[in-house]
Amino acid sequence: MKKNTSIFYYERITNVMEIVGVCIVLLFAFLMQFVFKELPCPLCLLQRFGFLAIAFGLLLNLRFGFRPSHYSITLLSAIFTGFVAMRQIALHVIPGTGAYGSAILGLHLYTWSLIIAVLIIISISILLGVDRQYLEKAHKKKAWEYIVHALFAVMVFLTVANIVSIIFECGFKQCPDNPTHYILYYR
Amino acid sequence: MLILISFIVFLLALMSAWFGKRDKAMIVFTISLILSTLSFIHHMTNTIGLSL
Repeated sequence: MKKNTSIFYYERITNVMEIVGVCIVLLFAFLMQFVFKELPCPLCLLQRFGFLAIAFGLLLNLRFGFRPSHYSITLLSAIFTGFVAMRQIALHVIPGTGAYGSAILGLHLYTWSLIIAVLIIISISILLGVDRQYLEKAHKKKAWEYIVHALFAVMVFLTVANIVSIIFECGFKQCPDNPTHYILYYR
Repeated sequence: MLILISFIVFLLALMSAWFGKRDKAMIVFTISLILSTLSFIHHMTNTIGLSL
């Protein structure tokens, strides 16, 4: 018997993979922050926000079923992340102006951020065009619900971790453009 | 400060979606995206009277 749900299966898997990818990006940012002592600048924080927002749209797809409005959230967030990354690249593109943070595989984190944002824009634009996924209601299988709740829990954890990090880094005032220490630590 | 507020509002949107309130989540998310866009614009222009 032919299963007509297989196409939905691949789209769900694609959504989950993109969310996991975003989580890896954010965990890597924390690794750079805590292990290599590279504090995030305001633009870096905005890029982190953009990645969280990208995952938010995909999570809505998994929780409430596939809808173009959820993909539009992801697209808008990816465009936002790309713009912020481009702004940061523009700040350092002139020779002699230096760079922020260390390079990974020859590229700085904000350059990787732009590349990932563009890849997400392309992949979501393709996914958005697959009409059949919109016929399906939210998946109600128990095992699937556990996966969705686990993804939500990870995203909430990453968001709270970012909030705590920002409070320690900036306090309750303007974040410094070039942070060197945690303000709440060294008062 | 505006970045911090954006993250907190985003957390509210995430929690709303987790608890099944889709419409509320979409509205709250839109507010957080507007706030973060404002802080980005402020960073680029330094003309709006909001602090990062």
